[in-house]
Amino acid sequence: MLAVEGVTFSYGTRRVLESVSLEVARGEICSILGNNGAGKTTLLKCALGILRPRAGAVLVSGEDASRLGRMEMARRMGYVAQRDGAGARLTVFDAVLMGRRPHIGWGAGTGDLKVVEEVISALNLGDLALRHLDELSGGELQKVMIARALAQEPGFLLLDEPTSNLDLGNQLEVMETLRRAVAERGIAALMAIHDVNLALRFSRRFVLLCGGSVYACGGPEIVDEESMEKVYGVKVEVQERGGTRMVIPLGACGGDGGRDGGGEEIYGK
Amino acid sequence: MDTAAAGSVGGAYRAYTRRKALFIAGAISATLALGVFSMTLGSAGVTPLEVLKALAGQADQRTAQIVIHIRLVRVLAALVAGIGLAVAGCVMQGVLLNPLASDYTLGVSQGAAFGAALAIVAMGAGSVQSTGADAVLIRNPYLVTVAAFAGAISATLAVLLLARYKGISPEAMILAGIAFGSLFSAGTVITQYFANDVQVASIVFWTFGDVGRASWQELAIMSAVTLPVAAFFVLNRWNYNALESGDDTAKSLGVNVGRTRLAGMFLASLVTAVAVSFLGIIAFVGLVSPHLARRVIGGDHRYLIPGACAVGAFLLLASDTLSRTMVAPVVLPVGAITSFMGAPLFLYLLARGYRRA
Repeated sequence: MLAVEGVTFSYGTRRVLESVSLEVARGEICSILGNNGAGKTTLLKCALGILRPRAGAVLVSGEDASRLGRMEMARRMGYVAQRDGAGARLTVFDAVLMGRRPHIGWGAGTGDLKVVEEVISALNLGDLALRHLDELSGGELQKVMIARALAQEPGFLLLDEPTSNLDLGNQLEVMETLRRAVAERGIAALMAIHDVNLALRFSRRFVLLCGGSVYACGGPEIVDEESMEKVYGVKVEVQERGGTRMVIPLGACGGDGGRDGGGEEIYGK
Repeated sequence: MDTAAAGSVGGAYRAYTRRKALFIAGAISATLALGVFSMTLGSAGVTPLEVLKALAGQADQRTAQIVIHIRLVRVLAALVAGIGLAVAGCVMQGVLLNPLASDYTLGVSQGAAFGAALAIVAMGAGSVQSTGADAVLIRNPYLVTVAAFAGAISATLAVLLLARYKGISPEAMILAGIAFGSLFSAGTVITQYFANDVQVASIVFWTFGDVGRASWQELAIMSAVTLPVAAFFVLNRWNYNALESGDDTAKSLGVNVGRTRLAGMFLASLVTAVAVSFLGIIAFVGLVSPHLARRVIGGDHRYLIPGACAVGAFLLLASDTLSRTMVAPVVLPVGAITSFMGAPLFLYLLARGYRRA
């Protein structure tokens, strides 16, 4: 169980998160929805321990994250950043092997190589294993980053926009990979995501962030016309299709719609 | 089927890393062979066998005198300085995530030149004595060395202080280094303006790096700084790899990003500063060696650090061997030779693109 309790964070004097609380259980994916600037990435970094909250706490399996060391946190939590450095002249195998870093003392042992081999074959990356990162497509690269995080053998996985910059097919493939990994390994995943429909399709829990605080938190039922208008400032129609909710954007609202003036909008203008 | 596939992936990877290890072993062997060959060259003819005998303490006194006390110290100085410059460039490029990072872009070399110029002009460390081979002698070499070292390290300290207290990004660190480099170059020019022609000659002479300036004592100091720092870099190889994936990812892998970057920068500059303040400025080795190694064996620091060290040692030793044989008995400045050899080689590799290791 990963629990964020009343986390407040500011960059300088700019308050980004205001008393945010949420919980993610093992084996489930929790999506954080909210517009640009709502604090999704900041929330992930606070949960990860990269940023230190001004107030509140992050509990990792009941233990206060601020008391766990850097390495201990790295053994428990994997992170897939939004923009990951693909500039390094590394092979896929080496990139995934890097996930073993928190477990490695002097050098990578046979056990570490075995874990990497297993993750690579589980994610069907075998054919790419000796390709260099700068030769991969966006979708392949994203899967490699997820593989690296899985090679950390973490109990918790935090992902920042894992499907941004991917085409439709790759979005589905990456999310399918993620869902399988979370289910098979009993991982708790917390994911910031822009695509509401992708989130509805692949996760069961949602946190709606609006202006740095939690607007709503719960199952798919909280994603409705009212909350979408409040969170994104967009009028939507919600439909059920094959048991999955779908959000169809109709147009941006004229009013301030509760947005906190982040960057550009994702749905139409 | 899954396990079979996994086994073949692991096997292919092991073969891949074995090829990298082989390259490093090859580069080290080539460097050692070149070292022996280099010691056979010179006005007194010595065969490779005699060199090996002398190294083993089995040669006659005259040969031992030439090989051990004249040529060996020079070869070892080239090896240690080559390792130091290359490993420093490799780590600077790694921690700043910038292929341009080197002792030049960070103002280390310009700082050393300014320090030396100031010592020669303002503190009267330079003078001219005609002693045949070298037209210019620096009267007080230690004063020049200490001043050069102070200049070299001050640029880095200024950049590191900006990073530590103002939190500037790696890109800004490079820009700040370039700014400090220009500042020091301007300082050197102004110093030269107020110098007499003898002093200007001394400054110019000093800035041409020459591995022959090292005696046993200087070699010992250089080694005492370079080798432990290189070992420290090897210990941190996983951290440098993690940094290449971006700061946030590195932090999520348990890396103390700020400390790794500052320590790497400081120690890399220290190694470079020691080398250039004893030997003078040796261009290009720090920039090119890591790139050459990266082109062949990739960016994994587990192999890149030893690979760059081997390439750097080979490059500097080869340049020095050329510099003292090309127009013998005149010894050309090795710093000019490194650029002369390094630049075309580098351009060729850039044009050819990456090779699959």
